[in-house]
Amino acid sequence: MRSDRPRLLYLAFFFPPSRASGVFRARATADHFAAKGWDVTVFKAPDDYYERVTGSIDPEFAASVDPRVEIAAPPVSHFKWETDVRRYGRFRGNFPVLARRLNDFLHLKVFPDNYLSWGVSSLREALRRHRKRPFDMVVATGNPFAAFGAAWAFGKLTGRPFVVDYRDSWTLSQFKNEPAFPPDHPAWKWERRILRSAAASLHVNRNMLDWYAERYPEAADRMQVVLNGWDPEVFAETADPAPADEHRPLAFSFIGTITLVQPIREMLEAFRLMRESGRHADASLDLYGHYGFFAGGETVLRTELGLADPIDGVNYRGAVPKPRIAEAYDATDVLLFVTGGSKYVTTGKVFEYMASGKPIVSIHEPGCAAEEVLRGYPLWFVPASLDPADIAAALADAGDAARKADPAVTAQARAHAAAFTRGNALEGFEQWARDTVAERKPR
Amino acid sequence: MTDPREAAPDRVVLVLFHKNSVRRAVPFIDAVAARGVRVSALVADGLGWHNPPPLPAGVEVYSLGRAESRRPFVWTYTALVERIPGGVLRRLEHLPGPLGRAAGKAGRVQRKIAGRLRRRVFWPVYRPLRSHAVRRAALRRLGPLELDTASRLVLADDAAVPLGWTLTKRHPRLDVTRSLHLGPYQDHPVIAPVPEGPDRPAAPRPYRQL
Repeated sequence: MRSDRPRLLYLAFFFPPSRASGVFRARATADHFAAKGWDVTVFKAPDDYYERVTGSIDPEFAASVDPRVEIAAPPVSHFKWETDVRRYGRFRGNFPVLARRLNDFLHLKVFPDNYLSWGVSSLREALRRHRKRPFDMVVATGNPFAAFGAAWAFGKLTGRPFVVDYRDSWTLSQFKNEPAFPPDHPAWKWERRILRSAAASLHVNRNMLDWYAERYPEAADRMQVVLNGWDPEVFAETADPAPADEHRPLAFSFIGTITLVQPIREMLEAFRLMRESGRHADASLDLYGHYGFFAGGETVLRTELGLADPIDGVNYRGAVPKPRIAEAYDATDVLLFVTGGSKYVTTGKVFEYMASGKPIVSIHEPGCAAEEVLRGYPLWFVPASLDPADIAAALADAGDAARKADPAVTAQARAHAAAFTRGNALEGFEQWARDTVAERKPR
Repeated sequence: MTDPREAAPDRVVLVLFHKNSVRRAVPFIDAVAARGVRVSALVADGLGWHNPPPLPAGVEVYSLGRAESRRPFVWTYTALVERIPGGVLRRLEHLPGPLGRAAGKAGRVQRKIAGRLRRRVFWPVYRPLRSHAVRRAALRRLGPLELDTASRLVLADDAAVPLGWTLTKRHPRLDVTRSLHLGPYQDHPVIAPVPEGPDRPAAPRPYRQL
């Protein structure tokens, strides 16, 4: 009977058709729980927000969500992002500074997050639905962290267990490796309050968990690592890579979203040096993906990253929808894993890279959390440093490996990646959630 | 040869009531102008606009500076606290002997006190009222801006919002925005180079007073 199924409320502001960072983890979580027999209800942002504010929307992506997942979109206030003055009310139209200060005051005093309005409307909608048919558990993924606030309030009001999923960290600046807020900021108070009551908190890697466990020891025993992973359907029909034809120029590729935090300039310089050195002199570098997570930033990013003018051998191939991403991997001989990662950043892309079974060159600061999962991947090439000359040497070595493409090594690479599917990553957490619900409410 | 910009139907009116907005607005002006969009700017450069960065050449700039200075509160305050006492003391400074020296000293004290009063009394009172005062002055003088032929009104700062909000009622088809992004002009082809460097030409001053 449908009513016997455990019922999960999943608060994920960014959910398909949004193509924001981390949306794949949200979709995978909802799909995984639905596949395991849960009745899953997702609260996401209205599509209107993705269209008008982030401008990053992929309608095809929405169709990839498991049809058993019920989706609702509680409203979000556009105050912070509204630029159309015609939509301003009389008060804001006449007293814009006062209106802004009042809005800032509310966000600072009530809950320190720009998406507070979405958290409030989600809570209201969750309580309405809970009265009709109770939820058994709430999982909230951040950012935005108003989702955590809503889950906490829901848990307090209904007594149901809630889980916070740190897809991104809240009070830790992952790219700077330092606290994101001054010590007296209310975010610290709220985070402590939420972690104290949460049934569990999920973190994307061990380093992140350790950072939180150190700050909130009272909640450390309820912290879990749930890695990101790759989606098996992406590589369902991909054959093992064959050795690259001796006479065919090699294709080096970066696949992912291009942002300012990545060492893109170093990558471009290293690629130029490799070609000049004569090793793979005719190679091309293909960039697949969007410029930034928000529409309208392409011109600035291109200029800042040195991609404004054409570069010999470098091609921007544009974004590829997820269902066709395998085509980009098929057209690639060597993958460049470029991230602004610190020891707290894993990225979701690294798992997909490994699943391709192709040589991967790491272009990031040493100590990045992604190294944790790449360790043991036999086609992983690590430059001695971020110096372009060192990267160029690693690129050339990876190119040589692509020319050889030993089937045994490729099989070993794919076997390593097989352990990192989304399903495997979520398996333990789903079982824990099922046990927790069963303990609380014996059926 | 015909300037391709003349053939372009699009025209943007930029409203800047605060001098700090100029620096942010210049890249926007460059970007839309490079795409063949004509740019007019309405600036309230009367009070608090000391040494603003120049607006790029090619922008038709209309000033509300004089109109703002004539607002009753502003005019009365500056007359009573700054212009009349300052003027009298400046004239007395030219007198020979101890009276002239005393007037010179009094003039320096007067300027110091007037400066402090402006910072500590005038601005705290006037700042919250300024956007309304300038709106009132602007609404009577907008004719030369020909807003009916403009496609977009861009408000570069919060102070310009009350004027923009009122104009949304008067010009129902005008696109009034706070965004300094390219927006609808993103896909327009770039038809003119963007001037760069410290010696780039600036819009001629003084600006045309409304």
